[in-house]
Amino acid sequence: MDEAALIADARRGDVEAFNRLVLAHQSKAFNLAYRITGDGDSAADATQEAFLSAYRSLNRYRGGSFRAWLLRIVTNACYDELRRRKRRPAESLEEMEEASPTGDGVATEDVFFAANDGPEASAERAEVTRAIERCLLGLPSEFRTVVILADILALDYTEVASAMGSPVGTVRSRLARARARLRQCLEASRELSGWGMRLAEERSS
Amino acid sequence: MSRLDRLPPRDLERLSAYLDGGLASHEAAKLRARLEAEPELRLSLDEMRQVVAAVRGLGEVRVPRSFTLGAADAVRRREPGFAYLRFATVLATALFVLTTAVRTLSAVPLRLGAAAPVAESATTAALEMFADIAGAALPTGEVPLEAEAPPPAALPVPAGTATSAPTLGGVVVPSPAPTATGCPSCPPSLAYRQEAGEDRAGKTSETDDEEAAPLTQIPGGSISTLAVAQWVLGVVVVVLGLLAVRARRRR
Repeated sequence: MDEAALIADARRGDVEAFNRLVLAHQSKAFNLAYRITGDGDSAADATQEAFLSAYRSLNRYRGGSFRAWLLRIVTNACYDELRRRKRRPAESLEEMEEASPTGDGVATEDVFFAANDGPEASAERAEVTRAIERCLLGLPSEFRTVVILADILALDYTEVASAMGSPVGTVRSRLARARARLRQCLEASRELSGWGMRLAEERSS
Repeated sequence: MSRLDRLPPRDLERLSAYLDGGLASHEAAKLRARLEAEPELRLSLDEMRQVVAAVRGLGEVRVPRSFTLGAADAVRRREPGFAYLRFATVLATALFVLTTAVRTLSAVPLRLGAAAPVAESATTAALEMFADIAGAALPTGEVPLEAEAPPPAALPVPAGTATSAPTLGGVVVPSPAPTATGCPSCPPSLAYRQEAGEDRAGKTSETDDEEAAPLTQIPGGSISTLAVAQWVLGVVVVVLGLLAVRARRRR
């Protein structure tokens, strides 16, 4: 796929060319939105809005990483969604937790635990996943975004900086602080200890 | 409180970047040496590694549907015409504001010119009052300085001083009131004060009125051009604004 050629075609109004770009990037875009908002429906709305906005403002794309440019638009769409949600305080924490990753029908691909784990391990896995997601959602939005971009979407620092519109130094600093906060949160929820031992065992074996 | 919370911020950043391979080679070598020597720092690195592994373990979720755009979305794409329309609206608004500002500023000297005689007569009255008080307080035999000045009628008045006022760019500039002493810096009241039996304040007002009259003579051509430009620009701004709003709604 020649991304530059597709962008040029899309700028001339070729929606099919743009759709090929959408297909190439929609997974990262949706995952970013999903982890920022913590809700499948909001994430889908934000992602769709972001792609539409990207198509309309293609003339403002000035080169560099197209993915980072796109993810920045997704991030902004998600922040808008979070602001809208703040204006609707009726939504309770329980509702948010119900809407969070395990409860909204969005399928997760588990890469950390083996598929043939027993029921006990499966329960532990679900519990730990919930704890991590809860801690992630508890981070301030700029910390959450940097962790998602760097650790879940595996972008390098330069791309993260571009997607967030921040200097690389800021990204490094925020990422370190976000990881420290996550560690504190996970320890506080008493979920990590067993898993931590399990990790240590896996490393030593 | 975890070990990570107790770390100095610089070390926290270094460990985090080290895990991501984001340290320069010499920095990484230095950190490796420290990790060998400092067990606490090594444990901190382990803690951070566990957090990173935990978050990465979340994995990616499957996309619930396709986010490709339909033909309708393509039609709704921002057209370049809209950008030009918006630019034209902004430009016309800026010109309108500029024209209004020029008109307002050109009116300011006229208003000041009209107000000048009033201010002058107030100054005159104050000076007269001061002179009266000073004169009354003087010992007998001493005559106020201005009493020595000859009556204004006997003095030669520079030709054209009272009848013509200098102009600046077509706008009449108020000239100083004629002085009986021929001293341009002297307050006009000192000259008029010698006019015995006359109502000085009334006289001053009359003089000022006479001088104020030419101030209202505005060069009609330039003002009317500005006024026309202002009106035209106002209409253009309204029309372009409506078109821009309509175009935006259509999008």
